[in-house]
Amino acid sequence: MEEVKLFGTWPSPYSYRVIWALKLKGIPYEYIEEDLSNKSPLLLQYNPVHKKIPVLVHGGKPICESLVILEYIEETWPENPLLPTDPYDKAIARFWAKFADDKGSIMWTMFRTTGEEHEKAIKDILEILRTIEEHALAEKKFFCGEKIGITDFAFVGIAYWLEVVEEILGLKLLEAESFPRLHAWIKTFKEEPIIRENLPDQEKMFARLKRRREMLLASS
Amino acid sequence: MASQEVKLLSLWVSPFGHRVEWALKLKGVEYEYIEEDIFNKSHLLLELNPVHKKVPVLIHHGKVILESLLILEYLDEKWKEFPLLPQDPYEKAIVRFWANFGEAKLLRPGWPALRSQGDEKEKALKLWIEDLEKIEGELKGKKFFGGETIGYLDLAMGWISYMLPVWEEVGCSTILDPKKFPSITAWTEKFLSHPVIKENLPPRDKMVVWFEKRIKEPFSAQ
Repeated sequence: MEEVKLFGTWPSPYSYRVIWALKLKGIPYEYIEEDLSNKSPLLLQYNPVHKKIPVLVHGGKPICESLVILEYIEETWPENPLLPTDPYDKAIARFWAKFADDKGSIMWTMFRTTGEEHEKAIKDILEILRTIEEHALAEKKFFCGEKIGITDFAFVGIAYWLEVVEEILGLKLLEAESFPRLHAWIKTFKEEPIIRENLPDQEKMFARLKRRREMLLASS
Repeated sequence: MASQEVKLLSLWVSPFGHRVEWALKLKGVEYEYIEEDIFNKSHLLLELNPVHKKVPVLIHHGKVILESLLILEYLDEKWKEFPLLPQDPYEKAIVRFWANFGEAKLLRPGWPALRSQGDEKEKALKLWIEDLEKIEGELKGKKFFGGETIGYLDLAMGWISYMLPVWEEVGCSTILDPKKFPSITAWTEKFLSHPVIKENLPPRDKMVVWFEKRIKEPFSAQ
């Protein structure tokens, strides 16, 4: 099998989704941690357009954008599938993965801002959580049924990271009474072995993000 | 009754809708077209797409598929005639990457940039043109984005050939200079001559009127 390398950054949720896919499918790979404040020449060579992580390099060929990478992994290594086989179910899975990607950045807007912008971001996040609760998660174990998949990976980025952000900001948005399905799903994915063994340490994340928030407040 | 199996809810001027129509026609799929008034959204649209309330919406045997690029992937999986995406996973990843790039960096910010004024416009256009240059680079030496025949990425970028010139006219700016963008210019000509594309374009004068009206209104990301 040709060599697989993953350029990522701790604790980026976009990096982690690729790690989970590779591990779930049992694909050996070399992980390269990138310092985003000092990007390596290799990263700039492999992703000249966006200069971002994650980048998967398979047999010397780079693939960029986490959802594009996940689809590539799924097609190249079909064992332990991460997407439904039925085209309609696949379309739904992809729709929600894209939704998670498009909306995920609002969490960081909430983290970065204060005042009116901050309040608006909080409202937007509650609306997003409501949409996921009502439309995306039916009475299923995971987003696409009994098995974990790409859509779950995309939403973990919101849920798990939100827990840390909530603690730093002193907020509780994802309450069990208001979002019972989401709450059940979070519990389920955290118990999934591959995920459980490969989640960034929340204490470390808390320390790093708390510092960042303090710096942001000091400079505003 | 084949035409009742597939329905497409769209807006006559939506580039997102056009690419789905081209795909359906290229694959020889019969469908019923339902026009949506996006300024007065129907109960049907709000029911079919409660999350985004946008067109196009594809309905196949009562099942709803949303997001134009995802609809193209769905069509490719259900109808094998005239394949749109490459078979090779790496080639597929490349076209998906560029389709996402085109969407986020060119199509969505394009009209807002061209309808803006003064310094804001200059700044927006400078970045926009830099991103268009990346597409020029990607197209170099190729007849179409898909190679010898049009494919997924040509459909995704199709709006450049017929909608960008309208934005240029209404926004009073020239971007697609053939000297600066020889590959895109050549591609535009070939793309617009394709029999299916040629027969399935919105009327130019109607588009000009539409965008002239929009420029007079305050901007809202419809």
